[in-house]
Amino acid sequence: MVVIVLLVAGAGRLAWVECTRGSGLREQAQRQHTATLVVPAQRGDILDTRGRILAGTLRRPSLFVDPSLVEDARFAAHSVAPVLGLNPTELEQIIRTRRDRGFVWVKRRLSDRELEDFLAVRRDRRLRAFVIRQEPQRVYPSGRLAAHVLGFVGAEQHGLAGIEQSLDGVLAGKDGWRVSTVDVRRRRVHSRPADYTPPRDGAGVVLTIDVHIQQRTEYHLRNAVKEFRAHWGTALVMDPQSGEVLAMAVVPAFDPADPIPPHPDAQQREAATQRMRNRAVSDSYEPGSIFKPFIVSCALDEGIIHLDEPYVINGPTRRFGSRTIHDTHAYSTLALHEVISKSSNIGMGLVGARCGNERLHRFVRRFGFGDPTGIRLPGEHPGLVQDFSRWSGYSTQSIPIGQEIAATPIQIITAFSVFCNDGILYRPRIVRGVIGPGGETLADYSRPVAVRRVLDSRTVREFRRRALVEVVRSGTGKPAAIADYQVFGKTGTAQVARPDGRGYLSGAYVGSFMCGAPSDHPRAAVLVSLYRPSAGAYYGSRVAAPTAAAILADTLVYMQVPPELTRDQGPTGAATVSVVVARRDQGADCQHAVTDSQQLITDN
Amino acid sequence: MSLRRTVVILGAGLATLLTVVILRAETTRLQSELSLLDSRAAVLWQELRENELELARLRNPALIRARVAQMRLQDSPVDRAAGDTQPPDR
Repeated sequence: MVVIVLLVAGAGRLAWVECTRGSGLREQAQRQHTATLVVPAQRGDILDTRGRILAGTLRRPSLFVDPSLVEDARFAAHSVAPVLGLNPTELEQIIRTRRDRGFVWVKRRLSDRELEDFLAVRRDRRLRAFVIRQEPQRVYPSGRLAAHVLGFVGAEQHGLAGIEQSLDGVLAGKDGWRVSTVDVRRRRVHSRPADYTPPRDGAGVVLTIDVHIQQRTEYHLRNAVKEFRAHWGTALVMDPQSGEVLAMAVVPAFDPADPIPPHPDAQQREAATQRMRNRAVSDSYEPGSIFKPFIVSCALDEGIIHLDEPYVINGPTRRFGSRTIHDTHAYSTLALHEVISKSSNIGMGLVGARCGNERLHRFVRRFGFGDPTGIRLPGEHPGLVQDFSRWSGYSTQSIPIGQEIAATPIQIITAFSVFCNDGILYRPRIVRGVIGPGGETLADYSRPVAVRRVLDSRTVREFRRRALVEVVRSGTGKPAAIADYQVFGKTGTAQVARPDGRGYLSGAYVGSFMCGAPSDHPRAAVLVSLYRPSAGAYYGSRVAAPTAAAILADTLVYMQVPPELTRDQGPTGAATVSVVVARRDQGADCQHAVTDSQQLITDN
Repeated sequence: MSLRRTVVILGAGLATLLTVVILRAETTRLQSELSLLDSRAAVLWQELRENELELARLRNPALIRARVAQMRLQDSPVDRAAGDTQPPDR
């Protein structure tokens, strides 16, 4: 009888529990013996043009807690917080106030020491509500190299700048998840295949950047910025035959793994923001004299002027209506090619008068100024070409000398490449392709994209040979001469416009130099710009030309480009350049050719 | 039902139960082992990634140039012409 009573009472109790707390207890039991784990997708790598890793992903341990499983919040918090360097009271508060949640981060990306200490505490004190999860961490093995190109990611591994941002959708992939039965220590015991959705790893992005060229570019640019105490500097190296950007450097640089200091004040945040600007694509400025070749070459192409045509300068100053144009030297008469090589502003004023505003506007637009280039980097500025209705009589003399117009470095080097590839404007490219996690090609962007033919090939060859080469042989660009190769280019020294657009800042200049080599078949084009150098010198020929030449020399040797000058012709010789070594494709023969020619010049 | 038949039936039942229990235990053990192997694979994959990225770090041109300079081999024509002896950048 007693047994029957006990059985009935037990059954009644069970029924009562089932009716009042059944669903809650079932949910609790479900939570205790199952775990839904996010399986994070692997973010894709960023590789240089030869497959070297520039950005990759590692997994680092992070700690989270399931507050609903914590029995004694005070005990748990005071056990865990000290080994992680956290405040126990704050942690206890978090656990208490978020009881309804199954997931709260305790600390992310633990160090090896913290992980070891925590595991020991968890083992000793049976803190099964605390769980380690492996979280992805972005790693940049080359440190600050190409930081402005790569960009960086935030705490949730989303790209916030550079390629990381512009190709985030490709790189990120998609997380998977797994529902598992777990034991009392939250170790996975059983997973059903139906409850597993695998992650889709992100694709890798292959850039056109070459780390060796990039490193030399940054090295030379950093030295120049330091020597001339410039606010900032930028340098670009481009393959002019295809539009591929081989190097893009901005100084000062930043560490993409740690772009903003922890807990920054307003000043530090502003400084970090300025450092992170990719000025090669985001900042435009008046180009100054490096703009002259773009106007002259178009006027030549249309037969308006001729390279041997004499221009009466009668400098160093000359009035054009109400405006006075200055030259740095007092020239009497210059042939047109000398107007370029000696960078005569008065000569360019005369060219502007011959062309007229309508043609000048067309020339400027033909080279792509005023339009974004379409390079796959975020924040590209289109530069500034004023609407034609706003051009005035001043524009006729201003535009030919690179004033009243603003251009970004990527626009300038892209336009300059037209002089290197016989007249075609290519779209600059920095992404070469996208490869899947298994190495398969998902997208191929390696083919050059021609925007338009800007100049006739004969015009380009003549202009390059007679005007741009002369700049380096006997003109303003002499400091850019290098052994073994005939460099051609153009210097520029531009005043910095006031922020309100009224006039120029006193004593503030941008010194630039754009160049290419070899002159017979250019393989590399380089642009160097230093913004507001403050160590005395500011002319482009002084602050930028030697740096551009150093970058060019390193690039050509690295690319195994055969030398161009003969033994009896120095780099600044006036004789016509002849090619001593037949052009060959890259390979062992080229290496021998380089060595042999270097030997010849050394012997001489 | 004879005693012998009863014993056989009970024995068979017991054997079946034991087999089920053993199979169930073995399944759980194998699942657990599989889980550990999964974890081990993840750890090894992680080590592979770490080694790949360490290799990438060692292939950093700045490090290579530092080594070249250490061996007193000047590698750049510009450096050679300028007699550049300053330490390579990082």
